[in-house]
Amino acid sequence: MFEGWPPPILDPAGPYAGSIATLSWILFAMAAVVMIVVLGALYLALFGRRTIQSKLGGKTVIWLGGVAFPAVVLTILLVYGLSLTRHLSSPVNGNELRVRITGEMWWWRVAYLDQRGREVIQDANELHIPTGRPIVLELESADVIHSFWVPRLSGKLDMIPGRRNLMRIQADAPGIFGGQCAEFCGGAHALMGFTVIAHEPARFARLIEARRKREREAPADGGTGAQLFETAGCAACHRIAGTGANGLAGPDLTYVATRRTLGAGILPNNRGTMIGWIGNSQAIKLNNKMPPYTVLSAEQLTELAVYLESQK
Amino acid sequence: MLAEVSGRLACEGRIGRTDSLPLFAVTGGAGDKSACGIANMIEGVSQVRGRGASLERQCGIMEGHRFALAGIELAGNPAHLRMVSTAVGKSFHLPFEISRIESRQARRASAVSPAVEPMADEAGVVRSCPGAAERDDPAILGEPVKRPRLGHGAATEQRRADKKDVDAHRSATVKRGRMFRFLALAPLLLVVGACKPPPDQRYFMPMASAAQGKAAIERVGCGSCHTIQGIYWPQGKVGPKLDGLANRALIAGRLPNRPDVLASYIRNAPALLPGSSMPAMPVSETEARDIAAYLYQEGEH
Repeated sequence: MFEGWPPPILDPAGPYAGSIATLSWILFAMAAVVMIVVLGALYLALFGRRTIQSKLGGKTVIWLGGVAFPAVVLTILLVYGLSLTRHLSSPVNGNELRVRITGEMWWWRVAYLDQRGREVIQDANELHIPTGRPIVLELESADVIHSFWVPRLSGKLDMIPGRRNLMRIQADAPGIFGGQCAEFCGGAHALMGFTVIAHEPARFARLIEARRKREREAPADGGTGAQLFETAGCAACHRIAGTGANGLAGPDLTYVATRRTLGAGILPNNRGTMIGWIGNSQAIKLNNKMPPYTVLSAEQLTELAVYLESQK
Repeated sequence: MLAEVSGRLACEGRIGRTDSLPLFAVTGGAGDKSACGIANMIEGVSQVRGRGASLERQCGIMEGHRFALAGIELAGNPAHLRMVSTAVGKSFHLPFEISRIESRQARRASAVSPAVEPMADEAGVVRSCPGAAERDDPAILGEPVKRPRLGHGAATEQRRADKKDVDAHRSATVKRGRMFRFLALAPLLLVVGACKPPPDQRYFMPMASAAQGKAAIERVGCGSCHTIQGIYWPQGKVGPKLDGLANRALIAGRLPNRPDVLASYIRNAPALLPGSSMPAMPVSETEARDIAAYLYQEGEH
């Protein structure tokens, strides 16, 4: 449906996902070899000659095949696997780009942090990263346990209430990578998607600079759409930087027009889906916290959608 | 104004040669029917070397049938159709008014062009209908000669009437040998015919793919406002449900339910109905036609 969706799980786009994919293939291969050996032994035990059957039932085979073989193979695998994936949990220097991602029911709050750990740019459901360098994600949860998973960039890591889990991701080339909540978190768990967009470093720097500027400056007058955004009640839950809209319950809408998706990675972002989402998001994503705005007229819905289209 | 047209094309084929004869039938007065829809309604028989050969149809949009609605000129139904048929002993029957028939040379360079005699005199095509230049005049096209029939009953009635004409024509032209073949096939035809009623000709969408329409619906997210048959998720409730669209008389309660109007409405609703809460959707003209085809196809069930 979208670019990068559904994300392929064994197609790594960076070193962290790469080592996990390598380990997966090795495990598959080992499991296949063990499977063949066991099936061969089973065949001989059922249909082989008497002499072979009696040998298979002997103590030597059980000690060798049932104890020594697994102990050796699993130990080697454990050591190899831990060394292969050691860089996943290597200590954080503190000078990496840091982004705090908070799981909510059922969307993702995204905050880009500066060197001192302050949140400088707010966003939701979409993460922009530069290519070729590791990014540290601080994974938190606001309500229940979620799990952050962008298969092409890294493995899964749970977002646990009251804890801050650190995860590293890195993309080697520009691209769009889909993600998904990987821990059942309630009714709309399946509709909790995420998008990571990797840019060339120069382009990423420009994007961050533009957003920092946007956070400092008040936007141009949005006209009737902006008034409606505040009077209809949108502003109580959503924030648009520099305006009276400063609600924090729902996703930040300062850059909503630049997002590739609406409703946390589930709908394409165009005026039609925006109107559909505002008008009755409950029909699209049942029990999400946004009420259906059936009180708005066609003109008002269009005005709101046009206003939000200018938020970039 | 609506004339029954029966034309006969006679030409001498040469042994071993299967020259194709492009036949341009320029339709203008078919109103709600597209040219390719008409092509499918033409019953034709051709005898090549004593055997009945089926009519080979190849439709191309030569020119749009421009139709103005609310000041907007719609892309329109394709109005010019081209039939390429194995043109030996061809007789055909058009249940529609057509403005003219043009015969063209066979395209193959090696082919000796057969003697073609469009029996326009016999059919009275050219005389009874306005000329091509007049036909393409938007002032005339603005008022369709034949009013679009709306409603399922009307369409069925028309189909029945068409079929009667076709049957009479066939019995007059088809040889007896074909009758036996038909009788042998009759039980099979009955079984096949019982499975599904023929699609409504009004909604025949030439060169539109319902499958691609479904993909486009999912890509742009029509479902965020509309509940559409065959689209499992999302099933939005902001706009109307779109099942049964083929049997509905009006689009959005105000526009005639025709394929070209629907495709234009999907593409840019506010242009046709200012103040509509449905916005212009990011789809191409082709995708809009595909979506319309999907909606009609699903809406029939």
